[in-house]
Amino acid sequence: MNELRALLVTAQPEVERVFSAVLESTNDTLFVAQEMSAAVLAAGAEQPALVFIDLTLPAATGLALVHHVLATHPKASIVALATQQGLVTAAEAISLGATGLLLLPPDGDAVLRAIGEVRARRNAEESIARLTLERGALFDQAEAMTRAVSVARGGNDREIAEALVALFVLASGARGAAFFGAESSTGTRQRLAAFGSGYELRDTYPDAELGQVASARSAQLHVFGPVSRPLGCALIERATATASDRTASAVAFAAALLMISARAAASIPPAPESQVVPEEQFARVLERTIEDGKPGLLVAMVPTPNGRVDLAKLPLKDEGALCGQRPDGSAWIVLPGRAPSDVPPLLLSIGTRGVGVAAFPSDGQRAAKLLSLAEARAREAARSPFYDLTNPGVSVGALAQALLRSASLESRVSSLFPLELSMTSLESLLAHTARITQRASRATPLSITVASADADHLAKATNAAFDAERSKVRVSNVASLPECEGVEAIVVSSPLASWALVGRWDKERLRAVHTCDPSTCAALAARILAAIGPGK
Amino acid sequence: MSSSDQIRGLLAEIRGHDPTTSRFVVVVCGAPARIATFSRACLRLASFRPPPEETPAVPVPHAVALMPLGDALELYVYALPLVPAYAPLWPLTLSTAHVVVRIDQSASRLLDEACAISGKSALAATTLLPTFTEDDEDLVGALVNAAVEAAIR
Repeated sequence: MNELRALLVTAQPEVERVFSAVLESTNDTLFVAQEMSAAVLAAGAEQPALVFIDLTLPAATGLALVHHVLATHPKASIVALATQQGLVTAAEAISLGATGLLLLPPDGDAVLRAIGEVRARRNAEESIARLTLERGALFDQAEAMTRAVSVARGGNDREIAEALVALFVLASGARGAAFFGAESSTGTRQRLAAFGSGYELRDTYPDAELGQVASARSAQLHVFGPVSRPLGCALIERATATASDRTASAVAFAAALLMISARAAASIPPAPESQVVPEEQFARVLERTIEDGKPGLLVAMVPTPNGRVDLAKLPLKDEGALCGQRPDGSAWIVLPGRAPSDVPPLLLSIGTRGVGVAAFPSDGQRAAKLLSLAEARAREAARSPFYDLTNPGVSVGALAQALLRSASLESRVSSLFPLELSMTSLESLLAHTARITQRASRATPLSITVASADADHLAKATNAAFDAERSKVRVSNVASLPECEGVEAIVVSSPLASWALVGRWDKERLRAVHTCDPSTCAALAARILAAIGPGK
Repeated sequence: MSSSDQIRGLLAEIRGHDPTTSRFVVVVCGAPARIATFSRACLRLASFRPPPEETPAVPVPHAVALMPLGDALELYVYALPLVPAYAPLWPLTLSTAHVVVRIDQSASRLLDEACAISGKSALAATTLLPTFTEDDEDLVGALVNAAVEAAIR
């Protein structure tokens, strides 16, 4: 139980005797003043938490004292002592701010209760203050944690480290902290971030010297995190004054918390550590794999509009694969012992969008060449969902089939949208599309490229739909070409707007897809025109 | 003063807003059933005329009515039926619009994206005119008037 320091201001020895006896029994400290000036001095010198003021002091000095104590020691609790006849004065004291009233002559039990109430109130206030402080600290930590996770999701290693160091300083009460990267090939650790006072650190330190720096500064050196990540170790200079009550376990807890947040973040995939190779070491790992002379595949993945590569979702361990990832989200996977014809489940789970594959040794036996080849193919595949569009080896007929297979509503206007139409509806659609494309293009030249079983009929309907004089319309019938057989393809394009439709007739209905994605339209038009051949 | 007269009264401001255009385009987006009702109500207004082109057989964006404003300027009301399968055609129409109004929340994500591509934003009919219903020609006229005012001010 906390000791209370109480001040009694009274000129009555009998009152003083009762209070002395009670406070002695509760092991609290009592100071006594018998008149105004002594009370003022005692209140300033002893800083009592509880002040009993006898309102029967001469010349109404009791009320003046209540006013003075409240003004100069606002945290002190005041209990007024009044007689039955002086209750009016007592009411005035309470209106000034006194928190309690005891009737004179005092009863020991009443004094005890008054002290108990004050003690309970003070304990509650202290608890509230402590909880408020703790809540503030927790809010600060939560904010810093949110920032760290947010940075970790989209930031590079250095940004992550800076955010985590800031959180570290906050969570541990350290005066300063520095993060050093993983051991590099030269056996040194690189400083990623430093915060706090008194740090004039070099950019790199050999491991041993870093330990010496820590001891010279009486700092703690924590090593944590996977060795393949740059969160290699942290140098923490502890606070000596303001946060001296923080313990080493708090620092360790903060470190663990940081690692949990970092692991949870998307940019640190929780894939098995042995399967993930640092970016700078991946080329070397690939070279060693190629040196074996066995065949294998190198898969490059680049971020697509649908999102970043998520290594955590890939069955890397099952395939014996090793992977590396760049901060921009692109990644490589090397699959030793796999032939191009042997499509592993891993590739099936990745899909084809934004994915390029190079095979060794058939595509080369140098790591740099394989990496650039696979990455170029991945970037090509990421350009459009219809990567076959740019592959000259695919006929327009096969292309139409592929587009029909991949037709899906992705809730994006540039996605492929499936359609099923009759010939009448197709004519109407083409005519309207030509018209609104022309309108959207503000009378700039309009090009219509058609591969159709009935291109002449479509061309007639289209020409009737808009003012041909204001446009340069080209309708090309490539339906007779073998590679366009059975295909219905229409591309309406102008410098400002474009639209493409491709499909196949199924009895009286046209099963087709259409899009306004400019790159898809341009690629499709180029493929149809290439089928016509130059000069035709 | 009728809605048509009010719109005509805005001629000078429309000219000030876009001095070169010969068409001031209001695009109204909504579910096909509501668009059909809206189109019929539009054509019940005396000053609106049917457009020269036929209504298409497929639910693609199309003109529903036009109103000559004078000074070689016409007000065109386009309908954009919010049928997702025809979403690739929406940006083509929206890019010509001076103002875009949506009368319901059909295909709202696709419409938002098409608007973003076209650099437009769709205004809610109930924001322009809280009492709007598409089967009342007076309210349809008032909506078109409110949309034109929103576009030029």
